[in-house]
Amino acid sequence: MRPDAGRGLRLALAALWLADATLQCQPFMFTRAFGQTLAASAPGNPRVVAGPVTWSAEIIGQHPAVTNAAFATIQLLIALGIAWRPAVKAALAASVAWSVAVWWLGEGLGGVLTGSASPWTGAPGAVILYALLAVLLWPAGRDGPAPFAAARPFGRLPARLLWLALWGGMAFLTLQTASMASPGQQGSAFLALVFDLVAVGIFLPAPCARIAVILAATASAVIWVLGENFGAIFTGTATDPNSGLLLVLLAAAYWPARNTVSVTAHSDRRVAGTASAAAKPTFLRTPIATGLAN
Amino acid sequence: MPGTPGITSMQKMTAMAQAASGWDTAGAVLLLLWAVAMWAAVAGLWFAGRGGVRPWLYRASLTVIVVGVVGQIGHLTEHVAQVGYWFQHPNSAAWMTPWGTGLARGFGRVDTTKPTLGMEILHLTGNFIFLAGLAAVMVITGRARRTRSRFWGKMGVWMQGLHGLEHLSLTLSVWLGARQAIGLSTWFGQLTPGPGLTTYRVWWHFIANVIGSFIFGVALYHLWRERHDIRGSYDPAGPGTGIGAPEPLGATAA
Repeated sequence: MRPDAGRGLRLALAALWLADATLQCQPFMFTRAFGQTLAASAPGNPRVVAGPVTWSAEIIGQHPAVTNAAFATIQLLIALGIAWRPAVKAALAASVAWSVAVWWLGEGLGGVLTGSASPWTGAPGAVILYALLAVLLWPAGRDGPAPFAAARPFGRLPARLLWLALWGGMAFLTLQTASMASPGQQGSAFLALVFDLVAVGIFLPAPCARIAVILAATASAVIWVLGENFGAIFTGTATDPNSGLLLVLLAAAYWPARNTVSVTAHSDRRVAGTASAAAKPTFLRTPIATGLAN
Repeated sequence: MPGTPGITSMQKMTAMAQAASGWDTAGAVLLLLWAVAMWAAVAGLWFAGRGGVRPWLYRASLTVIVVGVVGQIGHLTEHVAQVGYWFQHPNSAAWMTPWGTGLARGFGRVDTTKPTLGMEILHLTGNFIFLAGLAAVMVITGRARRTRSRFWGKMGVWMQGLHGLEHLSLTLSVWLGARQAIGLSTWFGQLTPGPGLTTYRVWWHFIANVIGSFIFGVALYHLWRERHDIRGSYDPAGPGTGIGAPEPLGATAA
């Protein structure tokens, strides 16, 4: 993984925060209706979750202009901070805190506790993906080689486990809707299978992991277009582009790098072409190395 | 692997378990013996391979692999048939071939109070026959450790090993009296039975077997391409003796 790959991904994240800030400036957001929209995420949640959602929605409903101006400003500052190198860590940390707060108070934990949330329409919630991306794209102390960008801050295994938890959780949420008596149960079951393959695929050697990442990005794009209707960003009421684009960005952070082992394998093959190596069995002339390091 | 049966289907399966014929039981016993014999062979070959070079190990291991291929063809056929049935009846409970149903009836005699136990044991057995074939690839390449066939064989053992654990979990949970089979393919029994869950489980096991069979196929392809080198590693006088084999314990670099 090139050292500046993480920087590129952080800039993409900053662009998404900027889009959020822009969407937050739409006229609808400065009306009482915005607060009512937030309050709609409370029903179906446990009381401990729903109570604070209703409370915050009431406050926003009473002071829509002031609160929304503050929200837009915070998101703009986060976007600029992530893009500006000296402020990147502070901005990422702030984005985690902000995302978790919004995930709870604005999205009712993405509806994951309601039993009816579907990744097809945005579960587990776009905003929690911002927090996840901020953690995974945290600038590492040293820009050494990493198997993929998301592995740089905390290592390969924690990053893979987070991927497994996210996509495995999405599979579960999809299956919950698949077990409800409704048309399209079979389609939900297939989507859950795709999520399963994506979740497990990241643990496989690099060539297979690449397929899993491509599958993840493709599924995310399909969800964004067909399931989320481009995040409804042209309706005038959307606060973010929804989860599809963020999942694509997340997939990019897990794209396996071409590692040094591959180079070693090529070197070995060149050496194996010499006369001394020709006497050896084929399996010594074509050693297996590529992809095993991942 | 069939999906979680509905109530009607479960009643039918209870009746089936009670009505197992002598042929059903004999088939189930023979399939079980097949799996046991394969694992005994794999263990014996692995143990024999720990000593010096024994040329007969090559052919013996090949035989186990071929028997594993035959078993997996049957196993995969069952899953393909189930998916074929699903295409025709996507809203129905899962279906099994007549011979699969018969074997499940035979295995079901272990405990006739557990309607789906026979089916779970049948698939567990089929999976372990397949796994034994893959393990035999590991055994035959035991003296040629850097071959591609060993790489793919190892990948297959991992894949089917995990799949085997899944089947073990499904079987044991049913055996121990769980209301629903507990495994990844049922999301630990947390989901409501119905067309969605049936679809998920039928396709989950179909895909797992297709991927496993593909890996097995690639391992066999490389086994064919590298056969001279691998056979050479079993020749006491051949140039390949010991090449790629692990160093004996206590050996030091010259």
